[in-house]
Amino acid sequence: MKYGYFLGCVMPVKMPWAEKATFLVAKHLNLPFDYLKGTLCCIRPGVWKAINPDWWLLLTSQNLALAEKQEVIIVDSCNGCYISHYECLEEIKNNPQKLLMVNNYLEKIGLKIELKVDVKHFLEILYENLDKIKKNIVRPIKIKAIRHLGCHGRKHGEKLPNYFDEIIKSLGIEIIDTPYDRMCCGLLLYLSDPYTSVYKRAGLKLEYIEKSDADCLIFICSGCYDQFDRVVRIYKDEKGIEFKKPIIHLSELLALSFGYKPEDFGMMYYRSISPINLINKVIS
Amino acid sequence: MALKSSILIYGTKATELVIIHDPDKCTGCMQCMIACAYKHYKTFDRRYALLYVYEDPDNPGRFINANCSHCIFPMCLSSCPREAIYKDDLGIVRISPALCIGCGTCNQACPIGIPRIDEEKNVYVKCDFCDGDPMCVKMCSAQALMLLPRKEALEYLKERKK
Amino acid sequence: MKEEKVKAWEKLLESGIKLTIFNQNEESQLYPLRKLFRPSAPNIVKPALQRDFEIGLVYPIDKNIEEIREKCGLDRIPPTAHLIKESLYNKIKIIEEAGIKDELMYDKEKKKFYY
Repeated sequence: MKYGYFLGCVMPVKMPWAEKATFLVAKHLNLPFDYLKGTLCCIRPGVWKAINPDWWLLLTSQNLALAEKQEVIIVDSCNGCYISHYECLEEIKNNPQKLLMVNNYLEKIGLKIELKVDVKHFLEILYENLDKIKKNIVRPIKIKAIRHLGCHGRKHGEKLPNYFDEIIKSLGIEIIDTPYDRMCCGLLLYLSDPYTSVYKRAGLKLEYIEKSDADCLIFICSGCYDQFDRVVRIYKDEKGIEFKKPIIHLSELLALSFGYKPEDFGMMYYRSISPINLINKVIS
Repeated sequence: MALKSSILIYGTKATELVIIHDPDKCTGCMQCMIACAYKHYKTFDRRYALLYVYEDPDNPGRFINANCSHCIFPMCLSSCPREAIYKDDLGIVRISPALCIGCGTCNQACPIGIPRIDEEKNVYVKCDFCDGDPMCVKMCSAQALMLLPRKEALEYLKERKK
Repeated sequence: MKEEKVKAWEKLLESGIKLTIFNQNEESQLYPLRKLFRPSAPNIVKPALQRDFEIGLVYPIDKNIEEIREKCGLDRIPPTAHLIKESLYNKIKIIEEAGIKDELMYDKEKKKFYY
């Protein structure tokens, strides 16, 4: 079965380089990757589930029905989208009444869920192809880095965090452990308490990275990038602090290690922190 | 007096399930507080929440949670001068807003200071366990908040302390 | 006579709506004893919800982003609801059928929240 890559809200608008890099990596590994077409917002579970769980279920299921129609497995790299789709599917599977309710509404727009669809995280697919990745590495990346997985990635225990670490290590990157590894980026908290969200969550993390001897921050979740990007801008405007250690998506590092040039996926464009130093270090 | 009467009526009835928190898993995203605030006050402002997440002052990057465990012998219930606190059929400890005078004795009596003042109504409010289906547990994505039977919860916490 | 009454009632309703669009906090400072009213959609998520109702996603795409996408070697507009408008119309249909807009008190014609 084909994989249908779910873009989400942030990736196409704020991180086109990561989108391109992801598709380059998938093509390089011969994965049957395509876009999941006509997708909508995953319906942020943090907002909608709190407002009304049934609405969340209903609006999320439209994406699931779309995937079923296109006969693909949904692949999410954003943890928020992943958990939203995954939990929605679980709830529909375990609760026939909810499935009936969802199908009742979906029928009106000509869609239906027959529970043939599956949801996977991008990390799971990468981990399944770890041997292929190791074989394809042309340019080992010898840098030190701090990683940020995100809260929703910890839903299934230590599974995804371990995958994330192993993939990073396989590229030759040295991981630096910090006390803030587990800490949330503060994306949802931004709706409730912007000060804490900016200065006590993502801000603390970025300040720590700046002091440490890491070269960059590695992330996978688009939602977390949204928050980090915002925080970098707020620090620049309000405090005049400019961070220098870039925030890099895992796919970019994979693409670089497979021998692609930074220009191939537009690594330099549209970034809040320029990755020039990192590129020089990796390529030299 | 209040304690005696409540024991006479309800015995040692307690909620079968209890919410526990594992600081090793908590990421400090505060989704639990936000969901709680929305459920009870229709706002995303976390200051309205009825459970609390604090940053651990000794260990940066770790978080502590304080939530009502609906005790078998609740200190708040026994301390209330107006007998406004009671246990309902499910064993959930509740404050009656009609009887509460907002004196704050319950807050002083509770070992972790759970009841807080509602500044709009001038009465004390506390966790109502969402009538048996807590929203905070549903929203916790790192699974740091868990809903367990009392015995299992105690064992889990004992094991965690080792 | 009857018609006039109806009109007056409508005017009252409209003015009421205008009033509630003001900041709730200001109102509570003016009338401290008045009970606070909270709509289903908190103020802070209203912009995001509005964009969700109009675009189907949280962020819109403008010319600047289109150019950068092209530079990165991608299509100018991603194949999401930005490009395929059908799924957005479907979503709006679901939202209306399920009564979500009514309960969040969103006026689809004026593109504004009542409260």
